Amino acid sequence: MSAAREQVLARIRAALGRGEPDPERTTELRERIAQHPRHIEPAFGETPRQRFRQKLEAAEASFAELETLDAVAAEIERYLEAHGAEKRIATSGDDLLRAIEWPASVDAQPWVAGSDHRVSLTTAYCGIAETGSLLLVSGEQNPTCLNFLPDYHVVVIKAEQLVLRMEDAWDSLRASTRQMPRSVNFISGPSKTADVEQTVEYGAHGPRCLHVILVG
Amino acid sequence: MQPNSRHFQVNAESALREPNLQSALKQLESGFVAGRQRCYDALPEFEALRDRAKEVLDHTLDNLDAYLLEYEARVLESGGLVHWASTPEEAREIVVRICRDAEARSVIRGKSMIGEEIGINDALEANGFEVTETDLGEYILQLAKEPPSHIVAPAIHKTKDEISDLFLEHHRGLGFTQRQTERSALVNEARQVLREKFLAADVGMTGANFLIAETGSNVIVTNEGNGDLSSTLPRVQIVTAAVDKVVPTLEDASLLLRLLGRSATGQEITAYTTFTTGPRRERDADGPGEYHVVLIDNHRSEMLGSELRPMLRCIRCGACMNHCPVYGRIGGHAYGWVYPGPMGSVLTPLMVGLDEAGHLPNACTLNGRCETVCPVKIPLPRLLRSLRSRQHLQRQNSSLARIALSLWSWVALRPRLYQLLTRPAMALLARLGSRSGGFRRMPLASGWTRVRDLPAPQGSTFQARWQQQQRDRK
Repeated sequence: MSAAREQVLARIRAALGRGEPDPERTTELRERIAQHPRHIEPAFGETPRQRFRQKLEAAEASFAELETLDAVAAEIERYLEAHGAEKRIATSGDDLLRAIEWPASVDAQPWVAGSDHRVSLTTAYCGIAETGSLLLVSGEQNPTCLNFLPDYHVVVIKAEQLVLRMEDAWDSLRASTRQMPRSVNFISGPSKTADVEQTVEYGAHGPRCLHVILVG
Repeated sequence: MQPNSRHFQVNAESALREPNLQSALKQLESGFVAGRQRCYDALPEFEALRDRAKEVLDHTLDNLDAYLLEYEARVLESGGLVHWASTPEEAREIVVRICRDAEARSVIRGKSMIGEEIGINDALEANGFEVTETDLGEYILQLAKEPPSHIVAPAIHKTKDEISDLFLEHHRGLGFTQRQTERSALVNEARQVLREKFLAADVGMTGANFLIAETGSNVIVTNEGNGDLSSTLPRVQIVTAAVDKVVPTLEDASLLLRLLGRSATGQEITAYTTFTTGPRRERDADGPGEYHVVLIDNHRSEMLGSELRPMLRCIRCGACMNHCPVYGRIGGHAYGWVYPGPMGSVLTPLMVGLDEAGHLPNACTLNGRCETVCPVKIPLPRLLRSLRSRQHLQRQNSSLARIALSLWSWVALRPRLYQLLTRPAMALLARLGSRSGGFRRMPLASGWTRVRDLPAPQGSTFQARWQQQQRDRK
């Protein structure tokens, strides 16, 4: 390993007034990591569903609630028409989306590298009620660029995928995957900036519009 | 960036006369300050979160070497590489070497203060790479060739008119020949210009709000999505981060995230919070093929071993500067280096030298507002005082100040003599100033009286009045 590495570690240890951490201490710290204790989790009065919607809408995301998946295609077509957006959609490869039956008027295709669609459609790993966030993770069927490159990002999420807090999402991820996915994105509204005269404008680099469809 | 902190007084005076800067700074109170207050009032757990955050960060700093090693091991397991740098020079060399090895031409950057700290843009450009800042504020400053003036809102001092001119000048050649005057049109024009840069870039550089020992992830928090595109589109990702960014677990990061957005911009959460771990996996649909982390010390280990250790808890929210009456009048550039405001007045002397930045710890009224709002309870006024005493001990303050302080402390250590001298002095000053209530001029105090009146004392010393009150009670 590099000389700088040894120097930095040696300076840190000198500053802490000790040598290498003893094995007992290291075991203790690894134990703390393995147990990953939760901290203070702020309480909220609304139901998770109410909270999720309220927070997302406060961040200027739009929201639709549907009873069944059958209604998703029509809702997306309505949304795109209302925004005057083209009905050409790049989708992630999730089974949930593959099962959608599209009308002939909508051209929805699984994303391929280099596509320049202005509308993307994805699912989410889960939704976080506390902050009104969608959690999207990368994978074989889930290119991260779909979350950031298009002008319109539409996310379909099932009501049973809502969790209370970020910490619940961590537990769920730990249980379902051996390793952190490469990209874990918490998305809590469309892209925005306040860099011109401290005034918020939407659509800085990421999607100008975020539309969340909650099913069930 | 070449420090210019020794000219703080001149810088500050000219900042006071810049009308655009003054009107931008006035907006801080109704923007960031009011936003933080709304978040504070809406969250009864805020104080408990601050206490816990302080505890977690102190625990991490106590075991910093061990957590850094855990973090390093997880990055390696995920297929990434970790490079260590003691100094900004070493960090720059590492980044340039990675770009060269990757045969890169263009580099895009997500906003990061450590990038400014190590002066990465100049180094990359000097080595022939095209560098583009992608945070809108940083991009505006790159065009204007100016340093940031706020750690969260870097171009806070720029007016819309100035931005319109800059964009017209620099984007005309790209086909944007109309001078845009609407905010939305300016944002949209930058989006289009930078989108091309994103798609063409070989290397994406970001900082890290946190590094997670448990998973080997880096966390970035943005509203624009530029850091996320920088982490996703180019074939190489380089994360530059200081050694004090590591926290043990995802839960620890979640705790700090609840404080960061609220304290910084008055947001419960920013639009994007992204955890990135290693390069793209074998079957991943996209993502960079290489993932590098450059861990940088740059005097942090020195702070760790000194009374300034609490400064290493800093999560760079900017609340201290938003609430600082000095920053609120003079803005960031007057401080003369990368970090302004109270946190900058502690960091700058440590990083560029107390001789260069000696004015900064003194440019403080010790009103304590920064400490009150700091989400991780850094005792900033105490740290600034401690830098002042270092200055005194290292004989770096003016000889007049040293003589005056020595004289005062000699007298102050002799209470009877002190009272003997101060009582008649106060009485005299009270009589002299009784007509106008203050002094326009005063020998040895012209630095004060040149720009404001010195209020006259009310006639007796605090101690005398205290004793009188005690006697009256009996």
